[in-house]
Amino acid sequence: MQHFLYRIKMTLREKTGIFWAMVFPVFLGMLFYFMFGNIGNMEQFSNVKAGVIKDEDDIHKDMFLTLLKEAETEEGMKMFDVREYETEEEAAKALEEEEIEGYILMGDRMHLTVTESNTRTTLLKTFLDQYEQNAALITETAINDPAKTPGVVESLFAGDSVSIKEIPLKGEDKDPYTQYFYALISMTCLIASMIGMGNGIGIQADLSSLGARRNVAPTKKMVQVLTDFFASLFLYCIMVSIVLAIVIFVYKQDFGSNAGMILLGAWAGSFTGLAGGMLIGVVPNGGRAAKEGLCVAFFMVSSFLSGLQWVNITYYIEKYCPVINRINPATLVVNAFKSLAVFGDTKQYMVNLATLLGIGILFLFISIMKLRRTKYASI
Amino acid sequence: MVVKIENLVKRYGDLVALDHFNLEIEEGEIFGLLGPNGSGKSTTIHCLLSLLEYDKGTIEVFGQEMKPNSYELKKDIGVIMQNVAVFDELTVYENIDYFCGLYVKDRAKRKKLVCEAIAFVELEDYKKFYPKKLSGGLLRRLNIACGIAHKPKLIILDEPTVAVDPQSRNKILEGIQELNRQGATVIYTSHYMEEVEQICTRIAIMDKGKNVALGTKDELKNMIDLGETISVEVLELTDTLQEDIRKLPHVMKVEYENHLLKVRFSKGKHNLLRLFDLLKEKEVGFGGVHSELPTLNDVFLEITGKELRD
Repeated sequence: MQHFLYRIKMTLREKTGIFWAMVFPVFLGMLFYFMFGNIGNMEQFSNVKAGVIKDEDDIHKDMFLTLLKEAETEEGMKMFDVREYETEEEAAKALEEEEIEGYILMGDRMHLTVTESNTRTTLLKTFLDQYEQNAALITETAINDPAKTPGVVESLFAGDSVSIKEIPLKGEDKDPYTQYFYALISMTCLIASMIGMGNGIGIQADLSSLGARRNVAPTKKMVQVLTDFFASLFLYCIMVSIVLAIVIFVYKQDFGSNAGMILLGAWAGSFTGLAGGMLIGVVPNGGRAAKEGLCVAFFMVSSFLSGLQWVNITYYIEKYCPVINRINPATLVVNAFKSLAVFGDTKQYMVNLATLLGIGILFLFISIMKLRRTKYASI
Repeated sequence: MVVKIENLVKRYGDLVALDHFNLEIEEGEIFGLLGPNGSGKSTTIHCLLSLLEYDKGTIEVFGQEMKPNSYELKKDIGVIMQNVAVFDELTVYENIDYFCGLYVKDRAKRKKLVCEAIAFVELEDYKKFYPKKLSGGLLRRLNIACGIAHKPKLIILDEPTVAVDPQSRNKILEGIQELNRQGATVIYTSHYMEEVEQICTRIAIMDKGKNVALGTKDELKNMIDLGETISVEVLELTDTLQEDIRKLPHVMKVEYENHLLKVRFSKGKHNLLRLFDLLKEKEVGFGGVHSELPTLNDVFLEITGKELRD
């Protein structure tokens, strides 16, 4: 217990660590807040102006147009402002003149054209994808088991999990800028890696005098390592909770209503960040400066890929290399928050959380194994 | 026997840091490991503490083999490393308490030990100071307190006085002697021969990973031919006179530089008188005269052919 308390004291008195863990994210959050924090409040959701070029031969054209026109947000607001065009040239001209935000070319294979990929045009794409999936499902059922077709159609449009109406904005949050704050909190979690790295270095006799002194003591190395780790985790969870509270209550960002799950997500992220830092402190060769560089690279790259600087990056990663979104710790934290606040999907939240914790446990396990086996060849 | 090292070999690639090194240290000794930088002193200490893996040999402490997981043995060992190893974020008191806590779990007992250690290194006025606020000497004293607070039976000090002012150095050396009087066996490594001469009861001289000489300081000095070195301030000295001095009995070497005549004599009586008589006879005026007995540096010089601080 004595070591646990001293480790907390040390971390609290380490000003650089406090700066990175609390001051920096709060400051960055303040910048986000002033840059676009109020945009979501000022601008009400306006429907997406979508163009459609009808294919007179398409027997489903009327159904598609009806669905597109009928699609609503939870507040009952029309999602799309649909404009019909006879030719693609007309639609392209309208797009160029910014009368519409994208247009859909109907036919056997529907095609969406937009000038800019953003949250609004993503709505259009998501709608189209869902429509095509559902249409394919109905067609397949009609061919293989025609008797079940009415049931499938009914279930698809009755509001269950694959319903078009449920696609994008089911949850409580509709402010796309909140995603920057999700990424900010996930970065704060991963900044714990700096503390984890310090802990990792501080127990190795060949990297620090303190490590040598602690290695000659009769307290087992693993006891010291785990005490350091859990004391740092305890403190960091408090710090990240404070940052989260500032973001929610001062910067007025919506993280959903389940406080316990939100905190759990942030703590799991801190655990993985701390373990990642420990891995950097223990496994690669190099001095403190090199390891600090690696840590900064770890949390910055991970945060960048989760959308800290550009929210749409996750969309492109999902399109071209989705595995990154499945294993990147920062993205997992962001997705956990999004699952709660945007999609209201507890199951997806749990999947993200479990993956995040799994990665953290793996990092910690590798670090401990490396420390246990280390015999110093030189000091 | 407190420490027994047999046939210890440690290589860093092609470099042999310890070359079949042997050492035995008895209880109650202040044992000095003396040698120039790179002679293998710190490597010996690191191997002894099982911090370093070694290629060959055996190491026993208190009659038991020393291994990285010899936790019971480690309880009786106190270590003061060459580099100051304290936490910048903890105060003087907290640092000592932290490290003492790695050895002593009982809170009340630890509190008493920490206070005793603070008193021992005379840091009572600095208990609440952070290490960054301490001078080099005070920092070294804190470093020592962190290593000895748990009252170990064997204390290992690896060059504890590097970059320390003379006043603090004296306090540290007196402290080490006091710890020894209280019953601790001490291993002291240094390349400062004066310190080793001042406090050590037995000394091993190391060079290139080998134990080149072992004994008390008198035994070591008796191993060499040099008896004394006499220095005389002489305004002018001709080559002929230098030749005459060389012909005196027991003279080993004559040097004359910057008006200072330095004559090294092997063991023998009346060397100073004979030198004075010759200078008077040749009517050479001279000033200050200084006679030095052999130092450990002389021992090292004669055995290895080089200075300790080379």
